[in-house]
Amino acid sequence: MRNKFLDNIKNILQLSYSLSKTNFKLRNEKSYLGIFWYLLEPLSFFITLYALGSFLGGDNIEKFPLYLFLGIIMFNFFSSCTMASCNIIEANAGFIKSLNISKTPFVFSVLFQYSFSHFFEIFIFCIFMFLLGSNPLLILLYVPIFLVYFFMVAGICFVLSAVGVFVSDISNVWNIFSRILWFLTPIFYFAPKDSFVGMINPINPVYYFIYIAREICIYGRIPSLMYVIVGLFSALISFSFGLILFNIFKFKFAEKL
Amino acid sequence: MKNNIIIRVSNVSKKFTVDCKESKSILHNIIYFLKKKSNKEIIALSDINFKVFNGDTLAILGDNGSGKSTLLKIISKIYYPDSGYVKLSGDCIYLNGFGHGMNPRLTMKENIFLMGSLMGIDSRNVRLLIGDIVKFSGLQEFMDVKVYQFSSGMIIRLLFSSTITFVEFKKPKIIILDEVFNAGGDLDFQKKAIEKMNQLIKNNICVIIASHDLSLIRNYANKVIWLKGGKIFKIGDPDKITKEYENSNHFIYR
Repeated sequence: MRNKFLDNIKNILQLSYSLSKTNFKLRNEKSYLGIFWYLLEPLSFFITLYALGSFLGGDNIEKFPLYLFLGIIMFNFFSSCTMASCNIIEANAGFIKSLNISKTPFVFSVLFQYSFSHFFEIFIFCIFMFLLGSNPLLILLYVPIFLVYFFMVAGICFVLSAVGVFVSDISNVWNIFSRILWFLTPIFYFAPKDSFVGMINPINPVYYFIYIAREICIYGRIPSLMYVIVGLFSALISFSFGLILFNIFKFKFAEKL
Repeated sequence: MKNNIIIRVSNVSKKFTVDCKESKSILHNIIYFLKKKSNKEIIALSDINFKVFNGDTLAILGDNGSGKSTLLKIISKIYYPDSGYVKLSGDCIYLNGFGHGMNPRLTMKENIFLMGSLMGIDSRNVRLLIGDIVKFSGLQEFMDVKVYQFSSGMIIRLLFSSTITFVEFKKPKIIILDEVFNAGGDLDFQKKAIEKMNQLIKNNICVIIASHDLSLIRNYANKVIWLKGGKIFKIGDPDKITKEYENSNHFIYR
């Protein structure tokens, strides 16, 4: 029984890896800049927002360049994965309608693909840390934070991919929602607790992870235990809910596509 | 051993709702819900019961829209029945063509690895099988060529060789073949492909074939189910049922 469960997990991971590798190759096909395209977007955002930093109160934020870049790349991972998962099942309709295969690898392939590009962004972040006199070794502590963050994002991806089968314009709705969330998350500014954004933050799971990562990796401080507990809890709830919902609806995918 | 039940299909029914919605957008979903329009329903299968035993080759016969593919997809667990159940004693592979997992922007080698992983074969085993696949396809010189540069005949060779080799490797207890007998390609390759299909059918514990080719059904099957309007119209001996099917109105018009 246990072996069958482990074999199942192994198969899901293998297929997820294979699909993400294919997507990664196809995305960089015929591109002279190759993987640097992945870095160009966060870097251009970073340069623009850094230049605007003084207007946005960045001067008052300790180690603002690192604060800003880590916020951008963590949010970028969230928005890229969730956007891509909106139509991932529909994009693979051919396989789903003609093979009895697990559907979860299609969602995981999106997460793996963007985890890979996130790895390059983290590498750039390490260079920034080194140049700005922070200890780049602190990034090692980002690994467990990212793992929990990965599961939180995975839960939302499962929900969106399942809904995407039944509602064709979910990607448009999600695009608007994630743009609003981008502005409501303190990525390029600091939000005091008594401000409007400060009051919204407690219901924004992305904020918890960005806060925890900043506290540990940039400032070398232990984050508030409350934030850690809420972060872990949100990942657990998101992943369990997403997976349950996906498993309820997956039986209808082949018929509805 | 011969009398072991490999597939048990019990009281299986399936209906499809035909969407009256113009699209799947949020707005249309809301309007549709508010108007409380009832969906049109099509009964694809109605109360299907049969058993397939160890060593059986079962053929499913019927006109287009009679429910053949739906039944095969339910047995393969791609679709799920609304009522009743399907019980399988062993793993099952469903083939309805030879194009699973192929991406024209990838090279032949990359496509073989992708197809392997979609069929649940790890890359270590695909590496062991790749020699056989390439040899059977006769495309040794094109390993690193992107598939969009292949002719249609070459694509068929690649798809057939990979799929059949992976199926042989997996050794499933049950193979379901949904209109896959026309492999295509040039005459030499077609001959090789037919031999390979013969081997596949003979070497397997249980095979289900859906086809309109009556001579093929007579050659391979030991039992035939004739589906009509989603119901089992007749079940029994291949020679008798194929003749009746041939003599039915359907064939007079042809």
